[in-house]
Amino acid sequence: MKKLIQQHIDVKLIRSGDEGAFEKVYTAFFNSLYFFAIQYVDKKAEAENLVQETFLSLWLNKESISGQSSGSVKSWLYTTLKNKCLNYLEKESNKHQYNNYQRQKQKVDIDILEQMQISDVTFTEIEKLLFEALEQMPEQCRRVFELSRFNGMKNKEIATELNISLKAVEANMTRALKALRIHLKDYLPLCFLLGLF
Amino acid sequence: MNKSMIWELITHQLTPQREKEVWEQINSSPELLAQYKHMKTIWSLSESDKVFPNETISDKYKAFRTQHIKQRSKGIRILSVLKYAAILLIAFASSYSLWMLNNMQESSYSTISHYETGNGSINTIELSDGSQIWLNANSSIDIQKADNNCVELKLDGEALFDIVHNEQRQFIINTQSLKIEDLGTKFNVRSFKDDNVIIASLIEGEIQVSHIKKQFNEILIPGQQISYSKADGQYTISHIDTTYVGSWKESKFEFVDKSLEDIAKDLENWYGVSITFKSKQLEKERFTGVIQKSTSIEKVLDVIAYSAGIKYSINQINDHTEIMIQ
Repeated sequence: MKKLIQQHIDVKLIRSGDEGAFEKVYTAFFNSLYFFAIQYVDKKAEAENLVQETFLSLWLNKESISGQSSGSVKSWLYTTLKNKCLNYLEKESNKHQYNNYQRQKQKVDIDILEQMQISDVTFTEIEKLLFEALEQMPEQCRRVFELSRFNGMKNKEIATELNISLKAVEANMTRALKALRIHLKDYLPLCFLLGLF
Repeated sequence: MNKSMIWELITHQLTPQREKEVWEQINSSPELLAQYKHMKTIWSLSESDKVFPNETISDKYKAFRTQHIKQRSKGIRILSVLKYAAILLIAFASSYSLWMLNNMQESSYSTISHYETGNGSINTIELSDGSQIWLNANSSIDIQKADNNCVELKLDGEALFDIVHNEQRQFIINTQSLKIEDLGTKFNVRSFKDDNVIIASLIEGEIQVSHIKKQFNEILIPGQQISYSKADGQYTISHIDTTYVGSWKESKFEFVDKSLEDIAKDLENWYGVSITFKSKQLEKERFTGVIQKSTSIEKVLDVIAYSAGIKYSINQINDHTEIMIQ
């Protein structure tokens, strides 16, 4: 199966303390990890702080990262961050400042994080959903979508890259979104699709 | 209740009022709750939003690298930090990285920054040269002056300082009655308004401690601790084991041969409770131990009660918790 994650992370380089490889990991996963943290830790500064701590932890424990694939670094990062969120929530739940509703949600969030198993497989499953949807798209439409979502390119840049007009890029994007929306409607909310860009 | 309603809750698309109603429904049905948990798991792992633009992340990385990765001699480090000073401004967005001393060449700080912590929280203040300050619970710091030649701040409470030494710049901490000047260093200062003593403990480097009215002036070496009594103005310098100095920042209480009276103060600051002793004798009992700060106050008291052979009772009066140790 074709990998949707474009960034290739060399685990060996990370282990050996290569700064360039580390920077690649940092920039590739910062937003993803922050998005994860903010779902459970609703204070922005705290969420970002936990993400920073996660990267620091990766840098300090780089020798102990096992596995070969890019996915193993990703799983390591998410697992570490998950535990940090869990510690944070457990600490918060001892405080008196929350109302009943917040407390109940925190308790359920703790349950979710405790039960969460993060491995390459988890991400593969989520990727699979997207991939299946992309497979069914017309070629041009799919390429426009991939360049935007996975290479982070702006519409103008995509137009140059594919040598098509800006209007065509926009039209293809709309088609791609519509196709995704139909395919994924049971799995992911509308705002996921809109939030992609 | 259908999936889309759960999605709307997870992705914050409901009004606060509606949010609570939907939550009530989910929380009262095991089936819906299981579905909610599954969907939230997928959502949180879906990398659905890119909050920070690439440029911001690359600036964040530069700051991260300067602070944690780059290991060079101090002189070079400060110079290269100055080069990044303008970039570091952006990192200000996070309230946890409070960068100051930016653009030291041009700006003069006329505004005074104020940082404070409440019960049960610790804050970190980072300076753009890599220096760090950890502010313990119920403490505050006022930056009184910050330019190329001098950083001066006022501390009320407890803080741990890890200051990158700069020959060209003075770093001064003012407390109620003592003035502490850093000569390149890691040290802890404890000066709560309600405490009878002010304590400064030096882990690395050198600090100069003087009375604000110039009654004395001492230079401490690593492993020394100065303890100043506000009541009689007397001070003692003693040798200490610095292993646990400033350990409060690791979210642990580490009590090394500490009196119950002092322990009670730490607990009051962290948990926001008040603690009274039935007899003065008990206050002087000493205790050694390590306790995670995430532990509930009851458990902490259980541990201390068990090891120190004391009893305690908890009274909840309105919103306030009072603990009596006997």
